[in-house]
Amino acid sequence: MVQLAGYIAAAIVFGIGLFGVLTQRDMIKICVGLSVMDSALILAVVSFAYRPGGAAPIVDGSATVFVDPLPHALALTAIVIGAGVLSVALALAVVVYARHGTTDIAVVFRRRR
Amino acid sequence: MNHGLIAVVLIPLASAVAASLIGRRSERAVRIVIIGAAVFYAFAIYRLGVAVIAGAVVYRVGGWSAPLGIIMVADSLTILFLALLCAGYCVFLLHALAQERSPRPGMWVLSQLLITALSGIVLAGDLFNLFVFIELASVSSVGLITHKRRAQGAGAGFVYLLFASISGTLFLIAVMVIYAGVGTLTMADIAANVHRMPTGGYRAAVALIIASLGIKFGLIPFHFWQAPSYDAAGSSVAALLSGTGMKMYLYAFVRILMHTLRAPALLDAAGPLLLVFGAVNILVGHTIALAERDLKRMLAYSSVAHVGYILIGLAAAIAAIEAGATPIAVAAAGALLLHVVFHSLMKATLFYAGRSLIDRVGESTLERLRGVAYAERAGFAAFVLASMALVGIPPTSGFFSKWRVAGEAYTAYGATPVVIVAAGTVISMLYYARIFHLGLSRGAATTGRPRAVRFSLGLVGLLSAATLIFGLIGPQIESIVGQAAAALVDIDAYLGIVQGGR
Repeated sequence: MVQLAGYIAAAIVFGIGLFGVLTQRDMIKICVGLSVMDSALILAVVSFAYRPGGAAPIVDGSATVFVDPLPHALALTAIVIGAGVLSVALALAVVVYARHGTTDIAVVFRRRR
Repeated sequence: MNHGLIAVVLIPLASAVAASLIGRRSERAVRIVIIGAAVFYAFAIYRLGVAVIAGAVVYRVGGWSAPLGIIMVADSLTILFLALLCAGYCVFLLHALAQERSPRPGMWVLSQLLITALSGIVLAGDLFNLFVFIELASVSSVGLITHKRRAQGAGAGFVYLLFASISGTLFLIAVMVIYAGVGTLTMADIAANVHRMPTGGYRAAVALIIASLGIKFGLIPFHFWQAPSYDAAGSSVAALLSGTGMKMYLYAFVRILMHTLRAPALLDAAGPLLLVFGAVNILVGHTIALAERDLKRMLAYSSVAHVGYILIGLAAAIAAIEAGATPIAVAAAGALLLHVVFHSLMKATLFYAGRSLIDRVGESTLERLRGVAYAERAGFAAFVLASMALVGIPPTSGFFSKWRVAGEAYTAYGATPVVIVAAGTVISMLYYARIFHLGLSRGAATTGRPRAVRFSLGLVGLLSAATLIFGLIGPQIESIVGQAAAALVDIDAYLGIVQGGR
C-alpha cells in the first residue's frame, strides 16, 4: 500500500517535472524541472526498495525481513549524479545570461553568431 | 586475474587528473603526459586484444565476484569498439597537437575524461556502472562542446545536457524495471534470467532502452540536440563525438538489446522494429541534411542518417538469428560492424577536412564556401573524396559497407530496405553535389585566415586516402571484424562469460 502510494506520487511528480522541462523556455525553470524529475525517480526507487515491516539491511540476527539495500545504493549515486548535472546546467545558464542578457534558451538560438 | 583490462579505464583517468594538476604551469608537460597516456592506452588495448583471442576476459573489481561485486567484461566485440575508440582518439590528438594555437588545458582534461567514460561504457559488465559511465561521458561532452566559447556554445551545451539527463533518467527507470523483474544488475545474470520477466515489464524495458540510448546516438525523433552541439563545438570535437563517441552508445545499445535482454530470442518484433527505425532515420536524416544551410549541421544530420544503415544491418542480423541461420547472421553483423568502422573513418575525415575549409573562409555556412576549392585545394580534394565515400560511390569504403548492408537486408526483408538505402544515397548525393558546385564556382572572395597547418592537412589527406583504400580491401577488413561479428550474433555466449571467464 505504502509502496503503491509512493509509485503514484513519483509518477505525478515526474509528470510535473517532465512538463516543466518540455514546455518552459527559461533555462532556470528547465533546471527546476530536471531537478523535480530526478527527485521523482529517487522517490520511485526508494518506494521500490520498501518491504512491509522490513528492517535496515544490517545483519545482526534480530530481524528476518530486510529492506532491499541495492536500490538505496542506486538512489545515492543517482542523487550525486543529479546534483552534478544540475550544477553544470546552472553554470551554463549563468554563462548564457552573462553573454546574452537573458536565460531564454530560444533567444540564444535565434541570434546566429 | 588480468589487470590489463582495468588499465584501459584507469590510464586516461589518471592522465586527466595529471593534466588538470599541471595544466596551467607547463604546456609542454601536459603534452608529454597526454601523448604518453595515449601510447599506454593503445598498448593496453592491444594487450587486452591479445588476451581476448584465447577467450573473453572478465575482471572482478576488488576481487569480488559477480552477484555482489562489479565486473567488467571484454570479448572480441568489445575489442573492436575499443580499437575504434583508440584510433578516433589518436587522430583527434594528432590533429589538436598540430594546431598552431594550442587548445586550452581544459580540453585535454575533458577529452581524456570522455575517453575514460567511453572505455567504461564499452567494458561495463553491469547496468548501473554503464549508467554512471554514460553520465560521465555526457558531462565531459558538454565541456567539450562549450569549450570553444562561441556565442551559442553554452546554449548548445545546455540543450545537450538536457537531452542527456532525460536519457539518463529513462535509462535509470529501465534499470529499475529490469531489476524489479530479474533481481540483479549484472548483465550476464540478467541474460540468464530475463526470460522470467513478465511480458509487460520486458517490453517497457526494451522501449526505455531504445528511447534512452536512442537519444544518445541520434535516433529520430530524439536527435534534436545533435545539430546545435556539433555546430557549436569545434570541428575536431565534432569529429570525436560523431565519428567515435556515438558508436560507443550504439555498442551499449547492441550489448543490452542483443546480449542482456536477448531481444532476438524473446521479442518477435525486434527485427521489424529496428528496420522501421533505420528506414526513418535514413530518409528523414538525409532530407533534413538536404535542407540545411550550414556545413557542420549538414554533417550532423548525415550522421543521424547513417545510424539508420547500422540499425538496418542489426535488423537483418536479428532476423537471421531468429531463423536460426547463424552464417547469414554473422555476415549481417559483419556488414553492420563494417559500416560502423567505415562511417567512423569517413565522418571524422569530413569534419577534419571541413575544418580546413571553414578555417579558410571563416564561417561554416554553405554560402560562404563559394570558390573555396581554389583557396584550399588540398582540403577540398580530401573533402570531395571522403564525401564521395560517404555517398557510396564505388570503389570507396562507403560503397562497400552500404552494399553489404543492403545485401544482407535484402536477404532478410526483401527489396524494401534496398530501395530505402538507394533513396538515401540519391538524397545524400544531392547535398554533397551542392557543396562541390559551390566550392568550384568562381565568385565570392575568401576572407578567413589561412591557418591550416601542413601537418594537419597531411593527416586529412591520409584519412581521405584511407576512405578509398579501405573500400578496395573491404573483404579483408571484413574478415578482421568477423570475430567481433560472431560475438555479436552468438547471444548465448555472453551467458557463460561470467562463470567461464578468466
